[in-house]
Amino acid sequence: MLLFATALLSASTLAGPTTAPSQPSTQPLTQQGSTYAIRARTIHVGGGETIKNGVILIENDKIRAVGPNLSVPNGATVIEHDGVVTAGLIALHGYSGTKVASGGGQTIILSPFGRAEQVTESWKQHVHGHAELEDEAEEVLVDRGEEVDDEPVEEDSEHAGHGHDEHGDDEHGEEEEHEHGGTTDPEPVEVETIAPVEDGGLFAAREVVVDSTRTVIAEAETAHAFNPASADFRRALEAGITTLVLTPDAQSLVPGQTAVVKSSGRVVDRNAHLSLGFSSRALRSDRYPTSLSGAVAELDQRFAKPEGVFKEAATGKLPILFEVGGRQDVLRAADFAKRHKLSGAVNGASRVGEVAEAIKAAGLSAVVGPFPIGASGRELRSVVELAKTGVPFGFGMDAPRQDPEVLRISAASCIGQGLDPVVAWSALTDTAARIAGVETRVGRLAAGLDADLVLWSGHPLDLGSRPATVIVDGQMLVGGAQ
Amino acid sequence: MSLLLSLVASAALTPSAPLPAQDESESTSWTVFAEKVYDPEDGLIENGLIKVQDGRIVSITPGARPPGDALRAFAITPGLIDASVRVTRGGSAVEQSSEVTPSVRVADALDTFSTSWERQVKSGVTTALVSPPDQNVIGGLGIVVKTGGPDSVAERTVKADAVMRGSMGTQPSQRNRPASGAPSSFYNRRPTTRMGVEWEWRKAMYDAAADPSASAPELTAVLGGDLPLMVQAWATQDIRTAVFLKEECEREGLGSPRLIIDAAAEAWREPELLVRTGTAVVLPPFDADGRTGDNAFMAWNTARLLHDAGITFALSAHGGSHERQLGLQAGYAMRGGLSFEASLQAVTLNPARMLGIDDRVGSLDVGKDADIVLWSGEPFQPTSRVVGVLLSGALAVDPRPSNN
Repeated sequence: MLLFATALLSASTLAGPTTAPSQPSTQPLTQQGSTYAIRARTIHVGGGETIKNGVILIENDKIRAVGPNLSVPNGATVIEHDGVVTAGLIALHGYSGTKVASGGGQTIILSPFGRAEQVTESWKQHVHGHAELEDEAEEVLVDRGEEVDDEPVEEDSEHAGHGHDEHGDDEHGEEEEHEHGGTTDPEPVEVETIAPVEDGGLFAAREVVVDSTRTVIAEAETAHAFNPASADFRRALEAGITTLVLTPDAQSLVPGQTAVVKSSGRVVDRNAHLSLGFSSRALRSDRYPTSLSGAVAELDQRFAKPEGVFKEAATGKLPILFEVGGRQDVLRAADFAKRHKLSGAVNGASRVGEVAEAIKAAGLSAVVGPFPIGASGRELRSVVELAKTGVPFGFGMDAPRQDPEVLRISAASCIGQGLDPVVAWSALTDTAARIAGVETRVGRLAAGLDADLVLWSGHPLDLGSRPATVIVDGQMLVGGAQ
Repeated sequence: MSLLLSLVASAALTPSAPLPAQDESESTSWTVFAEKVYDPEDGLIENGLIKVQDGRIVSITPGARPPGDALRAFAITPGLIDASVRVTRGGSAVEQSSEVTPSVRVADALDTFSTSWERQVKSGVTTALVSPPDQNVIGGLGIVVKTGGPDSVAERTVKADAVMRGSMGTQPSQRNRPASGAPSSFYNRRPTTRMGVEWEWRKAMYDAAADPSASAPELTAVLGGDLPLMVQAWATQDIRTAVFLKEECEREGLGSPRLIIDAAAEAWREPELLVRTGTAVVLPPFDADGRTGDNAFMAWNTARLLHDAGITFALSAHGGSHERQLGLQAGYAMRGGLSFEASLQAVTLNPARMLGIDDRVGSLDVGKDADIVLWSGEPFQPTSRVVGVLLSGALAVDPRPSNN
């Protein structure tokens, strides 16, 4: 529901209480010119504060003012919105557009979920783009296949009952890549030129090749590994998500650094967190360390006399993203953070609220979810517990495996189990911005912040509401007069 | 006694006295009573009343009359101790990158949220030694923990770095194999034979003695006898290998490891080896047909034979539940001829002394941790069961019928 009208008011009557310094124009704006205004029935500025019949004035890529009685400069376009305007949502964890994710030899292909031909096609393009990796990759697959086949049968029930329980973890995860055999496309394709697979369906992240020798690649930046033209970002935009934290896949001890990007593809921070693998997913049977004990020992050593990226983390400049699995991983991460005086967040813990006190005591934040439809009540109530304890938290998205809509569904489901809606909304916006380290840029509607806005048809936590218009850095990327 | 009763009565009449119903789940102060209190040191105490305050035993009164608010059962024993609980995070607990990893701590690979721990508590086991799983020749450091209580491993710890754990026999060589083509995992470079395992052991000991500064300090502690060396060896040939290794270390002047053999199913075959080296033993769980690990055979009267030979031994359920729980292991040992008293010691005081934790646990003593098991009938009998457990004074299993 959008109406365009040219304001007849004079610029001299501008009386915004929060006037921002003018920003140099870095990119051309949409058809409205460099300054425009949005007048809406309801504006959620953040932190539970709402303005009725307010105006947001946007200049170039920034918000210049927000208020109930703002005057709009002469000649500026005014967008009338009969609905709710909020800051854009922030997804704290995911693999959007990381067709080839992570650096340092770690290569991850995203393949269309359940579409074998597309898997093959991606694989072909990938393999021929990396001619030097092809042999190694095939060798790894063949050898690891053998390992599975040759797995000795445990004859001794005494031994089978313990010790080997989780061993199988090390050897699964490459079940779908075997179609590549016999593909004969001779044309080499550069990785950078791989077209995004525009299938319109859900994607699944699958490991095809993992560097089996290097488990610590702290310098690797996810910012180098995503395709801004990927359809993942369009889907995120259409779900009202304007900022995403892209994460390396934590199948190593130190898989690299996360990036904060806009869903326009623009990189905001290429050194947002240092990711540390604190779950058994970071371990492999063919690479040191193979044990959680060895992993802790190795990381302790890296932080005992920190250098390079580890020094950045140890001095608090680079927060840590602890990639965990269960509650015990959270406790180990919290101990580790205290031991080395690290800041940051834990991601991926199930029932995270049941160890909320430990997270709080370590001064860490949490990334929770995603919670798709049907998520367990215990998981959701654990988020309520987390909130009661006072641990700052936001939601992860796990795109492209999950549809970006899962972000709002996660928050709404938690509210259904008792989470305060204001806390839930902060988890999608301003708290998430703090966890991502970009709270001076995004997360609220306030003068001086990036003009990332969503014009919702109704209340944003009503799942029936849709984003009619999505604006990123002042540019209307969804809706409007595109 | 009358003084005690009057104190209790006055407390009940005082309005400010805390009501036991309130936050009793947090309470670590209780009064416990049983017709029969069995202590591994003092024997049977009839009509015993045990007072617990702030997680410790403060008094034990024989011939007492129970106050109305006492937790009651037919019999009481100390919390049981299992010196070989195999509850870890499986594969991720083993550092496979080397076959000798003496500095690796299993503490980092414990999951206190595992439901196995709850089963331990319910079966009356309150203290457990957990060691690295035996995929490595020398796997690393074991830890003694309480089986319940806080989520944090550190807060549950009774003794960190309690033993150096290793294994003889086939288990460290299982799954290993020669590489076919390019090696694809660490399993390709590890010992594939029994003698390969033994060679790794001797190499580790000789290397540690030859150049202590270049080897793990934990191995130096083993050679100095400061850190017990717990070696898994099921079969006679592996028990021999372990004992001979200790004797070789002494003969060659490398040091004198304090040896504990775990899962020593065939210890009954040559008990004189254990007697002459002062080696302690932890027996594996009994099995119906006597077949245990590494094709070793454990007879029903093994515990009795070790007892008669004067060997210090403990029983273990390996963290199993139901029909293999530790209380029943003691019952099976009694079926094999061991006395009740010796069976009780084999699941309480013996493992406590073996692990050097008998200052805190292992018997009912004033000042010790209030780890107390309440039994519905005579302990260790298949007809009895654990109805209540106090763990460090906290009510882990409530014996009162209304609360079950």
